[in-house]
Amino acid sequence: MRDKDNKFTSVSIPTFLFDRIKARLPESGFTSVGSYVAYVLRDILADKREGEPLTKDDQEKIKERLRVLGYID
Amino acid sequence: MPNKKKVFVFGIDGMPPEFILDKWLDELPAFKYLAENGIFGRIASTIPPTSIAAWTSFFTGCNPGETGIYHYIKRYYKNRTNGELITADDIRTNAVWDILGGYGKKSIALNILPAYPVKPINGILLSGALTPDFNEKALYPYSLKKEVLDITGPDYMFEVSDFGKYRDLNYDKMIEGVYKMSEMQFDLVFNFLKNKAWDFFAYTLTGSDILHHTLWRYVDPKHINFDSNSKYVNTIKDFYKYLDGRLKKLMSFLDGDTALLVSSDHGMNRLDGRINLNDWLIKNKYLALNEGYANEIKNEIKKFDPKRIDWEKTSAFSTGAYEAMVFVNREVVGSRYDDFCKKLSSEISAISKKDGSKMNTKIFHASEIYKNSYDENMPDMIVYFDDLYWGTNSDLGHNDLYSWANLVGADDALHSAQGTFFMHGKNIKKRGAVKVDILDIAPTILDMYGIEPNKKMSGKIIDYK
Repeated sequence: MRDKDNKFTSVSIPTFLFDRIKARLPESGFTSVGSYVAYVLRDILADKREGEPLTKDDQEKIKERLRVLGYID
Repeated sequence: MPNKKKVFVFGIDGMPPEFILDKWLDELPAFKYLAENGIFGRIASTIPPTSIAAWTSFFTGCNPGETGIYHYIKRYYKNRTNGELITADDIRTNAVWDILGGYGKKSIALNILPAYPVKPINGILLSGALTPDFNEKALYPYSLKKEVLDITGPDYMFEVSDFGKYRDLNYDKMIEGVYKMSEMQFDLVFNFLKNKAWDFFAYTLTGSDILHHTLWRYVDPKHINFDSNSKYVNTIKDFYKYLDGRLKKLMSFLDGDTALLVSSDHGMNRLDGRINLNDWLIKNKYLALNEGYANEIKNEIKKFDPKRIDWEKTSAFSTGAYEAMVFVNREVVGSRYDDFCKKLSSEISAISKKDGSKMNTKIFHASEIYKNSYDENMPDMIVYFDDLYWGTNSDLGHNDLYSWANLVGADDALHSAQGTFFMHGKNIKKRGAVKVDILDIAPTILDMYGIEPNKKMSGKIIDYK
């Protein structure tokens, strides 16, 4: 369930995983299972980007800028 | 265990140590205060020292082989000749604000290159240079746009433009634009700094870069076009005096527990000339063109067009305006790759100046400098002609090996391998001058929060405690 600011939401994970993560917390430097899991997921998700790709118009504007600066041919 | 510390990073694109630390420091009291009361020195940039690669490595602690960000355009292949842009979507490693977000720490990152299109972070992310439009891909969360424009005015500037192309620059308009853009960005920085909750704050100012590239002939007496009588002689110094004032104001807003890093991504060198590397590659039978293209360049200089090269007969080609990126066509070279690269780099190293004198050229092989294995955008070699006092020119059809300008682009200066760096704060000892690497920044920032840097970061933690 998302909180009222829409910044956090709940996800269910198996209890045994939760317990294993909780046991690791003291040595990990994290203070909560949530922050540990968020960190791990961010790292994995860094390989794939969400969000809208650049439009053709975006590409052309940026390329023209780079040409003027002489950074590209 | 993460602590309650705060860190502010003030990035200044291209800040040159020869001027800021050596020549002008006595005229820049706020910068001088940092130097005398903390750690300062030279910071080694990425290879190549191009801003998109360097700022990415600065904030992620990973070299271009890990981040995937080498330059502005993706590598050309026979079946990919359109020149696709490298953008924030291509970054493969986490920035400091991503990592801190995982610990519940809030970050504000303003004017970041590359950040377009932005992704969600725990805090605020505003993209910087090369943002085509102030849309939802430029700012996270986008709901803050009205607040941003209320602070800066309706015409928010990601870059300075409308001052003409490089062959007919209107310098006064450009300089006015740099100040206008910087001032509105400082307004935003100071407002968010005071009014928003944050644990980490980063602002990279990029207006400096365009002044360096276009007006270097007025500051460097060794520049071949040095002009000490011009009204622009003090323009760059005056800009740093302006930044000194803004730095002083910034420092007045930071509390005692906030560590301050002020740093550039690279420095600047005068441009002594350019080597027409693609012409050289054609002459030495590495690069082959389609017949029509080959005929056209007999009569006029043309831009390099990967669509018109003969890929079956091309073993290497190059791109770049400053450092040269050399790409080996593995389809043609095959298993001869290692010997081929050795031979080619030895021949390129031997290219001398027009008067026959030796160049102190440095060549970096991808396999040696990037930790990652081969990826599709990686250049095979990066060439610093005369240790980055000469640039490269990828245009075709020159009469000889040497040119001053290319068909577009700034002529005065290129990026050097060493930038300028300061670190100051209550918990930062007074160490004086040091040499650091751009990859040391992110692990050091994390260490300040009591967070162990992740294993992908290859830099070391600066000795600041």
